[in-house]
Amino acid sequence: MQFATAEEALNFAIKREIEAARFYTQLAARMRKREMQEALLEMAEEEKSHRDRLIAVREQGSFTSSDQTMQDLKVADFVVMPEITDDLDYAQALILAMKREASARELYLELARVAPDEALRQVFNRLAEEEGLHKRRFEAEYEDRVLEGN
Amino acid sequence: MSQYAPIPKARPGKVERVPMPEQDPIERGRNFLEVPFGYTPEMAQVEASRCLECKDPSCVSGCPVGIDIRGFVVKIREGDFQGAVDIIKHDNALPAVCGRVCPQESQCEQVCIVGRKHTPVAIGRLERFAADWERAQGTVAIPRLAPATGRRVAVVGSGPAGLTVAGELALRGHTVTIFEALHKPGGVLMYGIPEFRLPKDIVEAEVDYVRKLGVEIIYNAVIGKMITVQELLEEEGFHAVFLGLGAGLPYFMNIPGENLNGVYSANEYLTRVNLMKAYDFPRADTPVRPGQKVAVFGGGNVAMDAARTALRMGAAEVSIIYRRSMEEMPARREEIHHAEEEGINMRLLCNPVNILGDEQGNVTGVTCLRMELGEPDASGRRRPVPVDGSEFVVEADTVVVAIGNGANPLLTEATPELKLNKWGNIVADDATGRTSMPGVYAGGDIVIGAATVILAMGAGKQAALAMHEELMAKEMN
Amino acid sequence: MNTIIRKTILTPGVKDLLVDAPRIARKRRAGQFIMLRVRPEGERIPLTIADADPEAGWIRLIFQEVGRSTVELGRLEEGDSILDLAGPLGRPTHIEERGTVVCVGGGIGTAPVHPIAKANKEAGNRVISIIGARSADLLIMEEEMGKVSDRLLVCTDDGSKGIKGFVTQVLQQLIDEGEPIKEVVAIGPVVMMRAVSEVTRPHAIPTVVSLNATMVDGTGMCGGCRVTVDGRSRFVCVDGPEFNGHAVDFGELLQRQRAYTEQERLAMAQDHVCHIGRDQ
Repeated sequence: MQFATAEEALNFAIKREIEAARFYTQLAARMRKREMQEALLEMAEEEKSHRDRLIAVREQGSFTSSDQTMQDLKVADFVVMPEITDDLDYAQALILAMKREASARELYLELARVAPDEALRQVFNRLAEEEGLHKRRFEAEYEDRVLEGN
Repeated sequence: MSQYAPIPKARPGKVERVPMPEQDPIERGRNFLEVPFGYTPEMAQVEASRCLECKDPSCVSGCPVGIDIRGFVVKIREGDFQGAVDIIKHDNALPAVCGRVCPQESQCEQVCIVGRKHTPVAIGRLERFAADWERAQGTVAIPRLAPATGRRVAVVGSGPAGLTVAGELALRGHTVTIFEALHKPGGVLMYGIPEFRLPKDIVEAEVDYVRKLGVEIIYNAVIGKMITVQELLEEEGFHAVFLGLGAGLPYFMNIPGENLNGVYSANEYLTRVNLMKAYDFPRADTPVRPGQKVAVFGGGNVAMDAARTALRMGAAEVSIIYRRSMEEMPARREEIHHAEEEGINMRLLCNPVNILGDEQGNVTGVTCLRMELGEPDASGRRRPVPVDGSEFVVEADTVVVAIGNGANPLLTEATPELKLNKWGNIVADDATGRTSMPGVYAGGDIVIGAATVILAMGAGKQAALAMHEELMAKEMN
Repeated sequence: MNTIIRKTILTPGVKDLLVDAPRIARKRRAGQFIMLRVRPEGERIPLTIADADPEAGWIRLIFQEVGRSTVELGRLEEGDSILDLAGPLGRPTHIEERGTVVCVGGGIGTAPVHPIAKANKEAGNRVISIIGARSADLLIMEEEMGKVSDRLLVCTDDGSKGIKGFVTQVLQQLIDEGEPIKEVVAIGPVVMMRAVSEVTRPHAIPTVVSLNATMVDGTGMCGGCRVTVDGRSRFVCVDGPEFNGHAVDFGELLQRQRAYTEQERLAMAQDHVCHIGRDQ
């Protein structure tokens, strides 16, 4: 993967968000339980809003800073990835989502590492931060419910 | 008839809270008897005299079922213990249970006016005293039932929510049948909360009271399998159904090694010991693996129960492994305190990440990571984050995963008309318990997720009132 | 209710009970099980419902006396009641018109296979049944299996009846003969179900097994019966008892079945009864 400009990098990221939205939408269609279909479609909507955010960044030419802490909760690191079947429960869907965000973050960190110039490196680092925030959001929901007593 | 003379109100702050006599910590770690012995009548009267008898008591608003607390406390001070029980039972059919397991310190006692400057009145202990006193007399008063309405109600589940709904509707003259999946009543009161916190003969006595109101209990009846909810309404002649299914699905941590021999969910561990009496093996047939080194994951009441049970089952070492700090532990302070006194190790800010086993598939230990409180998020909350490189192993031959429970899907999957949330909980109206299915109400843990006995009872009360209204509004056919 | 209407001894250590349980009989479908208790201090144990008559209101339980609870159950006589009986539990077998279906019963597993073979026959499938046991005197339900199968193959380890060999060998032969098998259902000891799944795997023949895990409540509340299927934890009592044989982690299941061997020994020693036909 070669990127010459920040715009190219952002286009790549936007495409990934669209793919993610498609992934969740297709997964939703496979679910036997209605409430799981709804939950996965909501996740698809979230990916679409990430896409919109990145489109805005591309238009404006800069990232707006977030007041959220980016600290890594590392919940994703220790849970086992579930096999995808038509009767996933919501805890498994969250594990799936947090691990996807973790991979995305890893990808952007790697792209930042091999970036040819500072400007691109910055873009990829910011994208990695964004994925980190998304990952944290899923980890927090998992922690608040499944790990509520822990 | 009580022979106790009334004693005067104490001057505010002049009398210290009456201490509760308890079993010695080391000794009680070897038996399943209750830890607190309970107040004597004299102690109860003295404690009751500490009550300011406020004109506008704030304690009542702290009670999820709205017991007239000032009313019953005054009766105790006056020596009229039966009168106290009658007042409590007007709003709470299970006072012996609630007096023991309610987190009064975060409910009624938290808002007690005496508590502003001194220790609050020991409302929970007084409730327990009154209930125990009545039971000791041997005669439990049965209130007069309203005339029979001819309406039939099915209650699914004989836990605190179901028992409350059944009692409330029976008092109002309806014919109630409880369907219980297990062979004993009480739900979590029977299988979950251990003998040393809630003796089972007390649970049986409380259930018996509900039966005396005319409620029929059918055991081994798995609704959703043997009969569906639709069939209850359409074929079995019930006019309304209440679902008090509880939070009966154990959460596991989804870390490697959770299926090794010797790893239990808290539900399984406690059910084997409390319901199936594994402490009496081999006289009782159900075994539980006797652990010498037991690790319990979790920091709630269930985790404390599991840990203290493991101790009493003969473990030499019991540890609580909890990801967060003491301040965040959801268990009642009293139970954490009891556990520490009994010698249970609290490994806090400690996260289990891997369960280890030997070649035969038996648990040998738990790899843990130390945690620290992280940076505050937008709401100011600090979540725990792992400390890199801090792995260490806690040796264990038994692990109990007591992190929480979710919604058991057995009935809901057989009842597609019921709207559920993404976690599988039944969506029900806050005030009435009404679900998306006509004639069907729900309350307790199946709606709000794992919570407390008293909240389940509160939900049961509200649902019963709403159900009564709907039942009386319907024409009889 | 829960009264034993008829008791038959099928082989040493294997008994057959007809129990009056109208509500369970009405609702029961092939593949489902019940949980029962024989006495107040007793364990709750699962047993497959071998058959049921909704009109007459009885269910049929066929079981092997392998432990304290089954021995106690075996001591009950006609007219006695079973203390606690709950069901029907578990997901019913998925029956569909597929063509040729092979039903394999190993030892006591033939009892739960029988209703599945019957249901498959009623759905219009061509049913080939293979039943096997260690020796001729341990074979059960041969005649009944014959009635619901288009072809019945019997085998014994010691050759005392039928083909000498294991059910897996007979199955392999059918495959080699070119039988157009659309599905295999296998019930019996865990090692047998695993072996059958390995025979069908290279031929990608859909294989269903019925797992027998230690249970406490039977309604999904405790997780004691969890097994790993397709890399995920499933509860045999609510997600099963039937699963895709090619996806079950049999090694783990075998390990988990040994969790209480010490306690089982203790309990049986208490009773002074010898193990007969223990096939685990």
